[in-house]
Amino acid sequence: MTESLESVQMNSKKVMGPKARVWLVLLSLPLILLDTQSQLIALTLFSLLSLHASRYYLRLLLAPAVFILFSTTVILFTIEGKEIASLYFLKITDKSVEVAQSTLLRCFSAFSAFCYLVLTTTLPEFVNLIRVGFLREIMLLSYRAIQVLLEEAESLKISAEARLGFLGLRRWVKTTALIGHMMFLRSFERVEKFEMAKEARCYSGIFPSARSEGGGKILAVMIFLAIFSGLFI
Amino acid sequence: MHIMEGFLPAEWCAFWYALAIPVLIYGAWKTKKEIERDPKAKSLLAVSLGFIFVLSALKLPSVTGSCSHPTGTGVAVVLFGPSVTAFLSSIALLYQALLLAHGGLTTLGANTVSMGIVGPFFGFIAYKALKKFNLTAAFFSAAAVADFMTYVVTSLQLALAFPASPGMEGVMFSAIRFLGIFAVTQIPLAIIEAFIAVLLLRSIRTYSPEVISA
Repeated sequence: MTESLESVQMNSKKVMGPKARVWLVLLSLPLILLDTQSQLIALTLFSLLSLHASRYYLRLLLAPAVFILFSTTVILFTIEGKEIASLYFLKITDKSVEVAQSTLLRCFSAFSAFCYLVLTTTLPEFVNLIRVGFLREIMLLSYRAIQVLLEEAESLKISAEARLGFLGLRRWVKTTALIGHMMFLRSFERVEKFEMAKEARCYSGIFPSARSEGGGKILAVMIFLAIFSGLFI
Repeated sequence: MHIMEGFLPAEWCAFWYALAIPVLIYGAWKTKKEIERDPKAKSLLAVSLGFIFVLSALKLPSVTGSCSHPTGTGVAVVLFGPSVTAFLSSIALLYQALLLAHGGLTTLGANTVSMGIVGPFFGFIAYKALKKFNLTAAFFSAAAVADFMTYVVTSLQLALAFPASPGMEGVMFSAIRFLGIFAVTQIPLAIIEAFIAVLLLRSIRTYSPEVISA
C-alpha cells in the first residue's frame, strides 16, 4: 500500500510546488474545523484539486467514507435530546442529528484537504520543509528504516508461510514474534550500514535532497482566501 | 486508536495539541541528547520508529471514528523510556497519516496523547513495577498496559468530544459505550501483542543483548 501511494504521489498532476501545497493545507485545516461555510468551500475546491491530481482520490476516499458513515451512525444513536425517531431501544434525537450532520461535513471537508496533500506530496518533500536539522535527519533515516522493515517483513512472511508457520494460533504468535525479531535485527543492521556509508562519504549532517520546483503560490493564496472568506459569509 | 482526520471539533484538537507539545519537546530534547551521547543510537531509534509504524499500521476498523490495531509502543518504552517513545510515536503517527491516510493532521495531537504519551507511560510504570520480580511478566505488562491504556484514552477523547448529554454523566455514558465497542477487538489484540512483545524482547535480550544495552 505504501508503494502504491508513493507511486501515485510521484505521478500525480501538481498545480503548485510542495511548499505552497503543504502550507495551503496546514493553514486551511484550522479554518475547516471552525466554520461550516469554509467546510463547503474547502470540500469543493480540494475535491476538484484532488480529482485533477489523480483518479486515485476516489479510491482513497472510499474506505474513510464508509468509516465516517459508520462512526456518525454511532453518534446518531448516542447523543440525548428530543426524540424524533426510534428503532427498538435505539433513539435518534434532534441534537444527535445536528452533531452527526456537522461531524459528517467536517470530516469529509478536512479529509478532502488532507487527501490533496497525501496524493501530491511525497514524504521527503514534506520533511524537506522542516528546518530543524536533527529532526529532519531522524525523520529521513526512519523513513528509510520503514522501507527496509516492510521489505524484510515481506520476504520473512513468504518464507514463514512456505514452512506452514502460521498454522494455528500458538504457532502464529510464535512465528510473528520471530519475524518481528528478525525484522528488527536485519533492519537495524541495514540502517547501521546506511549510516556507515553516509559517514564514508563525508556526510556533513545535512541530508541531500532534490530541489523541487516552487510556483503556484498565487493559486494557493487564492484558494486560502476563498476558504477564509467562508468565515464572513 | 487513530482518530481520523476532521473527526474531532476544533477546540478538542487544540486542547490535545496543547497537551502533547510540551511532552514532545522534552522527548525531542532527550532524543537529541541520546544521539549526542551515542551517535550509533540513531539507527536503533530509526528502526524502533519504523517498528511502531509497521505494527500500528495493521488496523482493524471500529465503528467509533477510530480503529483497532497493535501499538508497538510497549517494545519502544522498554527500550527507550516514555519521553523518547512519545517523540518516536508522534513521528510514526505523522508518517501513517502522510503515507497511509491513517489518522490525520488535525487529530495528530489527540492520537499522540493516547498512543504516544499516556499508553506508554502506564506501560512503563507496569514494566518498572514488575521488572525486579519477573522480567517476562514485566515485558508482558508493559505491552498489554500500553496497548490497553491507549484505547481507554481514545474512548475518553471521543466521549469528551461527543458526550451523550452535557456534564460528566454524559461523558461517562459515552466513554462506556465507546469502550464497549473497542473492547471486542482490542482486548484480544492487547493480549496477542503482549505475547509477541515478550517473545520479541526475550529473543533480542538472548541473541542481541547489545541492542538492549545500547
